Amino acid sequence: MEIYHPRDEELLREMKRVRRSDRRRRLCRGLIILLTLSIAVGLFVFLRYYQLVVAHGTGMGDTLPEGSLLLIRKPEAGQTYQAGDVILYEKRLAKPVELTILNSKGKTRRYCRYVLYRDVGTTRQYYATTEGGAAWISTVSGADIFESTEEGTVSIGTENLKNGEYWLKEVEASYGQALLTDPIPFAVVNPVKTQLKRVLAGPGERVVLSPYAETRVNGLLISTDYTSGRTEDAAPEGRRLIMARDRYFVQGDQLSLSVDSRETDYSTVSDGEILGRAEFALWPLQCFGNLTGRQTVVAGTETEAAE
Amino acid sequence: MKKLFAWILALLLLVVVIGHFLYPVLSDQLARRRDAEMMQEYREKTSAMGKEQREKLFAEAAEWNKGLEEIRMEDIFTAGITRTTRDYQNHMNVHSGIIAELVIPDIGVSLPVYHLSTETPATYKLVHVNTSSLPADGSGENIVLAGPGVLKTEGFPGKLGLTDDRMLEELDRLIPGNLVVLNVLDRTMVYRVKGVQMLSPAGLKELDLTPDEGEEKLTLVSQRKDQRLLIQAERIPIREARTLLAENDQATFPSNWQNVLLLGCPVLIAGLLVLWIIELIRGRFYRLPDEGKREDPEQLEKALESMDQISNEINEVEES
Repeated sequence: MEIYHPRDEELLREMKRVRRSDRRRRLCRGLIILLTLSIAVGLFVFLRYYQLVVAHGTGMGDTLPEGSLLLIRKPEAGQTYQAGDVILYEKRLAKPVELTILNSKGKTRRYCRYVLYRDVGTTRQYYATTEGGAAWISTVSGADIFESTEEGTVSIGTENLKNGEYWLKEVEASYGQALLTDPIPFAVVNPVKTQLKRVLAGPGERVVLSPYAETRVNGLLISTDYTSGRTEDAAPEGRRLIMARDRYFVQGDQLSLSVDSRETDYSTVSDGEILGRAEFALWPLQCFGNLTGRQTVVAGTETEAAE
Repeated sequence: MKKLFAWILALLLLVVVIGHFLYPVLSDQLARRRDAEMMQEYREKTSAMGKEQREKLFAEAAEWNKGLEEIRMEDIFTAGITRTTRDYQNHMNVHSGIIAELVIPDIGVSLPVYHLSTETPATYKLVHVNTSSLPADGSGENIVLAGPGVLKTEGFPGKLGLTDDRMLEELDRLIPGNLVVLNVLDRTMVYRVKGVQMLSPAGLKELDLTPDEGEEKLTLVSQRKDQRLLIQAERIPIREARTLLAENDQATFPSNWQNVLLLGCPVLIAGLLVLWIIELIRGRFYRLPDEGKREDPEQLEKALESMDQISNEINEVEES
């Protein structure tokens, strides 16, 4: 006998509801997993092309105040940078090493000649400057010669020397002095700084520096709408520069306090030193926004600027 | 209706709690943005002026400074504007009464300095005290700047304080040796902190701030409850300042966990929000007509009665 149950419909409905809510719960769980995975993948891809950087110091003035958080686009092969771009680079501040050489009796060795070498494993390599730049050669004959001054001081430029240990070997003593047989060890410890500055001129562009006036790029004066301070305080050595194929002239937005390409010791920034371009300022709110496309020179013709 | 009311109440409570924590940061950031915009306009106007005009402004300020016999100040936080010459407001006034920009790198302060006036009192803005030297980039001057610095615990609302009241509250952290930068037109003057002291308003009034011949000083005064914080600094050559400040001029990379935190958190929050919205939409469209509704107790009782009745009938049938 068939028995009619008044709650059958309700029961069916309840069963449907339970099934549906179970399906929904499963769907939610799936979505959460999918979301977590996509966040992880997204972050991985993001960090492959971008990186975050915190700016410190007063060199960039109000453009990038202390503690600014920036989004940096990592460089791609063959990438070039435009005037106005803020770039992140690793600058090795190469200061010359000055050695005062004395003999065993404590007397200075004046007008003596030296070669510079390093030991790589069991191989000895001598430092030489060639047309293509600095090189390490295996014979003394073509090596660069460093001569001591009247005070017995040898000055060695470290632009092409990596941080590490090196030796000087005396190859020629001055008249009346015996050749120093012991090599003279010294170390190159140049500080490496990661900095953010604005590109003013790229490859092939002309830069004119003066201790009394603002910098000129291709004959045009730089714009001071976004800068503070003045170049006179930095007192750069007056000179003309034509940027080489892979070099950039960089300058901070605080013209009085920024130490940048205007300094002779600082020099320009090479392609290899660039770690990326600042694309966006995330924090603080005062500088939130796009960082690219800044007009760096005063609009006008080259002739007008020259006049 | 009750449910809706509860939701609204919960939402309001959430907004209040989040607001309580976000307010100091957001209000501070908005005030900084406002100041940065003001300074940008100031820079653009300065840039458009031309060198001769800027030199003229400095010369005029130097001339005005010569008229100052001695530098003493009233407690301008309570006394207001005491003495001023007729043309004070006209000197160094490039844009909206801004004289200069004060930057203190060690405490992350970057503020425009205004002329002291009724519109810009020291209790509201960082101002130049009108009885002190104007920044003329010359010797024998003491530039006195004053600004509010009500500590967080004193302000309104509660422990937070209004942004402009908290302008110089970090000034306490300055120690002798710290550098203070003053950007005036296109020039930059750097001062080194020499002394930090706390004074009563009466003590401040008695203080002789007149510089000696050849001295270039900067004095910062800020309000601290019923006392006044006084910071005195001496100018240093720009070359020395460049060397000192270049030390900190660098960029650092956040560590991996900071990266994940900085990038992951906003994405995660956005993702969860999307998920919640999806779930909300699904719930609304896929819900059964009587799903979620409470069962009527009367109907339930009737159903139970009918069930009893049926079970009795079944029993009877089985017995028969």
